[in-house]
Amino acid sequence: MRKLTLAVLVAVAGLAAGATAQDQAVSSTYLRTAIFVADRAATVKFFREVMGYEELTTNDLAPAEAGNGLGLPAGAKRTLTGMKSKDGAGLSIMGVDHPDFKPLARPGQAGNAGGDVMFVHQVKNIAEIHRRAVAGGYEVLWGPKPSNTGRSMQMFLRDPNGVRLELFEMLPEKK
Amino acid sequence: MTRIAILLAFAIGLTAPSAAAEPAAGVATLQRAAIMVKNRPATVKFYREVLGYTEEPTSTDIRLPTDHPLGMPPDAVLSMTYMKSLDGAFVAVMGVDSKEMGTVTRPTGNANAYNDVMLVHVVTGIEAIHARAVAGGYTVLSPPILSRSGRAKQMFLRDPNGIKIELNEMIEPKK
Repeated sequence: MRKLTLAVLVAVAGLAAGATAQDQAVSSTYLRTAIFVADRAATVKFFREVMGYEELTTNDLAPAEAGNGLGLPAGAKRTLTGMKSKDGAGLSIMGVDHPDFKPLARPGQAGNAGGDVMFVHQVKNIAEIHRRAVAGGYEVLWGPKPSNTGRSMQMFLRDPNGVRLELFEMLPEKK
Repeated sequence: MTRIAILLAFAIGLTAPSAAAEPAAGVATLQRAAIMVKNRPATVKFYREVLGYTEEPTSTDIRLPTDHPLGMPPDAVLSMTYMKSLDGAFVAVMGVDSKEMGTVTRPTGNANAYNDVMLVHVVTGIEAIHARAVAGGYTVLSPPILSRSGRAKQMFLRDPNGIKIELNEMIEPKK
């Protein structure tokens, strides 16, 4: 009986060690989000002037090779601008120039669809961001208005490529 | 001396208004990427078991007002699971149970499109991630291979909703 207990303990310890090793073997750090755009300059302008992102370097990349992992047409001209949000999150704006590269169809206006992605931001001075968005002629979908919970002011808009953004600014807690 | 004073006044006059016109602080912190999905558990499983994200609590039975700017159909019942990457970045997996909700149509295979978004990660254990992805039957677009720069092993895959994911495992520079 004691032998059996010992064997079970050894087996459990072995499994635990294996699980730990496996957990440590893999990790993913979400580094940045990349957007593939027709008009890189307009997208950079939006994230800089409306959202307050910092514009980093811009580089002309080598034309896309056939069978490239990004799935771009062979020979596509690529220009990449790195942008950084206030908290240091990265956004890569990849301008792609090729006649065979087609746009993704999204539902119009406020419509949404399965498989789509939205960028959620916590912001400071949502009224100012709204003013900038309106002044820039960007598509404001809603707000700023109090959220359902009443704990934040919330606003939805689209970037120049139709990517939906949710912005919220926390309201001071009532005492 | 008078000229200097005039020049100084002129200079101040030039700079002061522009400083006053400086836009009020309006900054955005990227808090999370939100994905709208038909099958939340399958998406959660992918981010947890393949990419090693931590699963946070899930909220269920969320019903939004019909005029809510998320653009959900009136019959939509939502659920939400936050997934956290190793560095603390969040992917919010929003399950949408709706007969009316459409799906973004992406190009097939490895093809890409304007206005689409890709989630870029730095990882450890890229071979193990590849093995997990293959074992799980996920769409691997290209197995881990040396990147163009030679500084990383790079792999592309799609999550269960077709969202493209780029993984990079940095290679130690040769001494």
